[in-house]
Amino acid sequence: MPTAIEFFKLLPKTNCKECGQPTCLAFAMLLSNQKATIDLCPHVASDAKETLEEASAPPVRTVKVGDKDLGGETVLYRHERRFVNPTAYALTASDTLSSDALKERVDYIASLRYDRVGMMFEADMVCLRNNSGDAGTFASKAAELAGIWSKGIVLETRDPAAAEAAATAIKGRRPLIYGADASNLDAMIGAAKAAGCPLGLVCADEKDAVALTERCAAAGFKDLVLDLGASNLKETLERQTVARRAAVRSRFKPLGYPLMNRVGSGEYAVATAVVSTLKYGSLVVFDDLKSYEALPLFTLRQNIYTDPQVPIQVKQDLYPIGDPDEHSPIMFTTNFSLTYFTVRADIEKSKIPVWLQIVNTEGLSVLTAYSAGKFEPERVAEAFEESGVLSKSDGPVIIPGLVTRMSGKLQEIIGRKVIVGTNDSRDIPKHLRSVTGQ
Amino acid sequence: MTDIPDVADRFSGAIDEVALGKGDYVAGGAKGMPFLSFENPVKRRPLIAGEVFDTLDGYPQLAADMFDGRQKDPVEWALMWKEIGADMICVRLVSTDPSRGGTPPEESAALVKRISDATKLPIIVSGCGVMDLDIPVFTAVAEAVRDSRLILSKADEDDYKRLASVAIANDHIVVGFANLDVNLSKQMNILLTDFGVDRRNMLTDPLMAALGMGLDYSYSVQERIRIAALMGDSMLQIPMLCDCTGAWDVGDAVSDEDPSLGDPRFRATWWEAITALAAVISGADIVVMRGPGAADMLMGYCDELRGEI
Amino acid sequence: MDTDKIAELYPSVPREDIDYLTESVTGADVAGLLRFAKEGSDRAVDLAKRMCAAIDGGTVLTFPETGYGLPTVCAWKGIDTMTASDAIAFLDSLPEPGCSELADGFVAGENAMYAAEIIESITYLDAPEGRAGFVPDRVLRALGLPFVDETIPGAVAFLGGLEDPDAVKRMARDFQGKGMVGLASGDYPAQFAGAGAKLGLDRMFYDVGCFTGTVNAINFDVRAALTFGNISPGDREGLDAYLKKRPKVIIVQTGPIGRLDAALAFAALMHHASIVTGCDLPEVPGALRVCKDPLDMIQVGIEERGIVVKLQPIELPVAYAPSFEGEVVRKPDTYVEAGGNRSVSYEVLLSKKESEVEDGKVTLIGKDLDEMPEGSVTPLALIVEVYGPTMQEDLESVLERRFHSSINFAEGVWHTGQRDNNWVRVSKTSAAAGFRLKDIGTILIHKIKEEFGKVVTRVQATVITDPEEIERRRPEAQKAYDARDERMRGLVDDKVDVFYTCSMCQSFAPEHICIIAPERIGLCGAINWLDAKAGFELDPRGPNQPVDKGAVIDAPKGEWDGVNASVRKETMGRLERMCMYSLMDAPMTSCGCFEVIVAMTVDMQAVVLVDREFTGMTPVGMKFSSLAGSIGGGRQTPGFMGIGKRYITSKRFIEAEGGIARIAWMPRHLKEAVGPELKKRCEEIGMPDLFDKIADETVTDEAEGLMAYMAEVGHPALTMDPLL
Repeated sequence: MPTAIEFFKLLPKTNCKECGQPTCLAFAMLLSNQKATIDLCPHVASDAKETLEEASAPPVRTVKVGDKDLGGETVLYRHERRFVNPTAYALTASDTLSSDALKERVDYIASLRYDRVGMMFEADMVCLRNNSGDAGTFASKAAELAGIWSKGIVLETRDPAAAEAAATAIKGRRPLIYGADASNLDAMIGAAKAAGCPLGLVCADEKDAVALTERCAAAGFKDLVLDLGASNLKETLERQTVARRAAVRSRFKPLGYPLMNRVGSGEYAVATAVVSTLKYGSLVVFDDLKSYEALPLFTLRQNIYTDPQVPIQVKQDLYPIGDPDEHSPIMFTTNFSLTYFTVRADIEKSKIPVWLQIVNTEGLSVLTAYSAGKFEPERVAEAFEESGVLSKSDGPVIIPGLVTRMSGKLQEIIGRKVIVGTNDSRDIPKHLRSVTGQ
Repeated sequence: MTDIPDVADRFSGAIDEVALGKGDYVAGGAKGMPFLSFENPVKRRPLIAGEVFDTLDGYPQLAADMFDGRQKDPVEWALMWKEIGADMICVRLVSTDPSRGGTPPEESAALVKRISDATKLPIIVSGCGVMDLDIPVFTAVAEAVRDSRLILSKADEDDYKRLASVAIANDHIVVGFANLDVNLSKQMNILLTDFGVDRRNMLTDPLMAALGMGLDYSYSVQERIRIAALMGDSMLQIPMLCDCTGAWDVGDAVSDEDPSLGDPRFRATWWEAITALAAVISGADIVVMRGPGAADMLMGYCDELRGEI
Repeated sequence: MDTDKIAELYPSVPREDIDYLTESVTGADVAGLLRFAKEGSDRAVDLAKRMCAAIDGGTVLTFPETGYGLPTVCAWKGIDTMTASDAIAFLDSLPEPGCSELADGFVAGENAMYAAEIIESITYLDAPEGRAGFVPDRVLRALGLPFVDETIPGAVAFLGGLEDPDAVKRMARDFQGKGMVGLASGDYPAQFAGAGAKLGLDRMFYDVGCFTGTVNAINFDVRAALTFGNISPGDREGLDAYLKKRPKVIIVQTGPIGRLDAALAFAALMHHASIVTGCDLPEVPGALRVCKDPLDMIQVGIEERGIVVKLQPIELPVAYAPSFEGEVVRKPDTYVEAGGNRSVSYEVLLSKKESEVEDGKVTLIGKDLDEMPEGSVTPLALIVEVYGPTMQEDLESVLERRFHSSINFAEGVWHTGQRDNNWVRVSKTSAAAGFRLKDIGTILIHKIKEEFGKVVTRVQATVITDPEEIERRRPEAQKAYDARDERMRGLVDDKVDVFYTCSMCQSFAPEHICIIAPERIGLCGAINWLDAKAGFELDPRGPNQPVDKGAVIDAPKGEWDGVNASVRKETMGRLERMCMYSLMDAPMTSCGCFEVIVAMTVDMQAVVLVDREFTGMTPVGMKFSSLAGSIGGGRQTPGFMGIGKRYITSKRFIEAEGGIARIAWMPRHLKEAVGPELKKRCEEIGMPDLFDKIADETVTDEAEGLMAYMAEVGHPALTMDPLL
């Protein structure tokens, strides 16, 4: 990726502010961090624009399906830089389903949705399969689906006519047509172009992918998602690694596209999805996914796509653990996610319901936050005030043992007795049992 | 058609090989990133250790139900692990804690000896977590089992000399533990080496945080350790042990409160299997597993990933 | 030692052998020592053979309660069972020692060791039950792993004797207080007992006997290696490697030396023991030290052998923890205070000679706070004196800077400032809890030993409140400050051959590497060249590694081939070059913890500086936070760079681009903070009015505003070449 200065050199340097930034330099910085695109600048010279676009394009092309970006990746390992666009998960629905059955299916897919620590984990897309083999049915079911499903849609068919009919029917939704291969490629490109939507290539392997994407490029079509034809975990891992390395290290364009996997259902499908989520997959299409598979898989995706350079934080909020009541203990800690997870897990182990107040310390752990002045009695009291926890329970207020020092002050501010907790989170269950007399 | 550029990395370094147990199991040896046959000719499968406790007090019922009652006798339990296909047994001696029974060191040692004799597999011995209590136990165990190279887990920066001494005295293996920090892992390996532990008697534990509990940190730390090792940093070339059983402490994995999350038995199994898959794909050479289903899945996946199925 | 007593204990040894072997040879030079060692060794071997011949040839030679036969023979030769007739053949097979070089001494020592052990074992054959000397295996095993895991820091073997019972008593208290094992031979067992120090198998204090009994200290040592080191008998290499590390044994020798002692001393050296002797002998670094003060001998030995004595936890009447560091003691809560321009107060750490520092000694001169009324202001001097074999004057200031956090960690004690403009307060609560000014001395000793124990082995502290004494000691402190300032002034990049890396931040910014030079402090502002140097001394494999500058590639840019090589290595080849003094060409990367960001202005003529505390907009169109987000993570971002505050006033500040003359804007409070230094720099470069030409947020926070202002004041950067 070019540096901000390299971008800056090519900008008009007029500080016209029309891009929304106060200076061209600030805009250049955004460009180099891929937080802006060059078309926001109305004054850039066209040749410079081309150079910039070329240079600033991520090695893995960003392809929009529905309202979701796929690809756009810039690195091989997440410790180098945050992975950009999380893997999308799609579940199939057949175009042979009755309206009721389709509704039921869509409802099921939508039900794979979990609210976790202020983040929503959910299935992203529905993949409509052209099981009917009929273009008209496919198109009308696509329209029907679009009426009851607001997110991304994949249209799976090998028939260019069906693809074009369905894609055109829901044109505004920018579906992914999935099913182009060596035999139908030209017609499929035509269909995708006609509907203005991206195309998923079913490749035999990575070599075949190069042949197909070069044909697409020759036809001036680049909104592609590649299925590298992996039939097992090893091929998934190795082929996707080859493609990503070639794209990132060698800027090898024919493989610089988002990757997808078409998996079936059951254990093996999930395992493939796990490998693909870890290693460079942008879209996984399932025939089925159970809730007990979806939650861990979605959690994995969330983990892998976090920013490695920022401590993950949880929201300042009151987290009831195990249905606490008006006498349950009140505990609090910082919003560094590892601290939160650990404390939460240890409270859960005790099986004693607790009100856990998380205090925003900008992601710092207890001692670091305390010494940085970000975990002070005033701040804690404010958080209590905001959540109203003190009026929810008259139970003991427990302060982390490491910051015993501020117990006096906190006691003074909140006017409640403060009990000193443990230094080590591991000892929480024992301490809670003794505090509650259980 | 344009040729795909050669993307295989040719590293100058390799992960050490450490012989375990009676020498018939070896961990490490990789010369490339995990499972990439185009750069790593060593197709050794990560070793899978099944976890056994010396008491069921505190052991999750959800997991216990998966062992057909055989978990009631630790030796039987270990044998069941062997039948499932585990390469190693991880024996957790937690009843040595006075608050959990205070089993005397000799009894613990005898138990480990019985498990070792019955299974003939390499044994990871882990304690109750309080070094003052664990050291006499490790000492007794280390002296009782002389015909198998044990893995004693684990020593950290603040307190490693005692455990390292036990390992040195009996030619066992000591696990150096560091809390999610590449430099600390390296430091730990240096400290152990400086203290006199031979490299063939060392493993490194970078702390495998479970899925949803900071797995991302572990995943990246492990990738970095592996890359640095392959690039030639000899002090990071110690084979890596990842304990994936933390998956069973995650509320989302085991909770039975919300039926919409699906059967907790399957969910916990997946939780651990995914944690372990992330571990092996980021560089684990040994993984410790709690659930038999997850272990079985992992074995299959690893075999497949290295192209053996 | 009285030869009659030896004769009594060794009835089968002819008197003339005893006399010959124990005859004093004190005062020898190296050549003499080697000759005496050879003589002692040859005679001992001959004696051992005669004694073997005098008993039944089939007699198995061994000691009570051991599984190692003759332990030194077993360990070094791999022979675990030996009869009297085997022993004769064995002794005959030993190489003849020469007496010309050190290696000969080791041959003599090894031979003498085997011979002594054989003599000892034969003496045991007819000895009464309970003869002192050989320490049984079970005792060694009972000591257990603590003996080798450094819980027990080491062992002291006492050789010879010492007449002064008080000194003997204090020696015993010293090594026992350090938790070490004691092995007494010669007259020492009786003298220790006489002085009231109890010996015994249950006290980690053993009587190993006299004469050839000295070898029992050696076979104690070597059995530890066999038992705990998993070393196979006869594996000389493995044994040597293990003994080099542990057990750590020192030998304290007082009184005359005989021929046998001379030979066995070499055997001890072969086991990596360090010898401290009261005799006039030539010193051998790492092996033999002369020390005339018996009370200092153990400490010298500890330093020589690199023994780390565990610090006892600090005992204070108030709590002591990092969490109190930020605590402020306000005026109304103060019991007593010093400094803060209210009274004379200074603090200093000085490195001293070995003999001038008594480890652990805290002295208070003047009144303590309980003799002062509440609300007092007292003068105060805190003087810490240190010694360490590898301590360097350069490190004094590094250690001294730790006073601040060390003192602040105590509850209700507050410290700020440094040198002679420090300020200390003790709260009423802590005073009431029993905290005394003298405790500050205890704290300082403890923390400095804890953190810098690898370089300082002796620390003493003096706390002074007596005004006269404070004035008397002041010139010494002033001299140290002046010398350091002088050193710092002379400490420039061109005068040093090495810079240091700092990879501390790699845990969260794995791609970043700091290069720290005398004129460029680490970008976190916390680590300067001296700190990095100290870091390396303390932990040679730690995050601060020396970088050989190598050949200069471009002087104004600060590019050296050695630095480039190091950057390549540390970033795994991701970065090829790094210019120490450039903003535009291969600038240093940033981790994220920089104090200040330097950013090129939009007209490419100048730079703005913005620090972490400033939350407003800057004339480059970005706030600190968005700039920070763009330059962190270890990437080279020409035009933007994170730096430490002190680098601003360095002569090397973006030298490649024209230095401070490029600075066009910085937040007002930052300008104030670096004001005096920056003004000085402006004068140095012949632009005294530059300081006033630097805008701040009260002038403008916009690009156009800044350009207009620069034109208005005639900023020198406008006449320079554009940065691009």
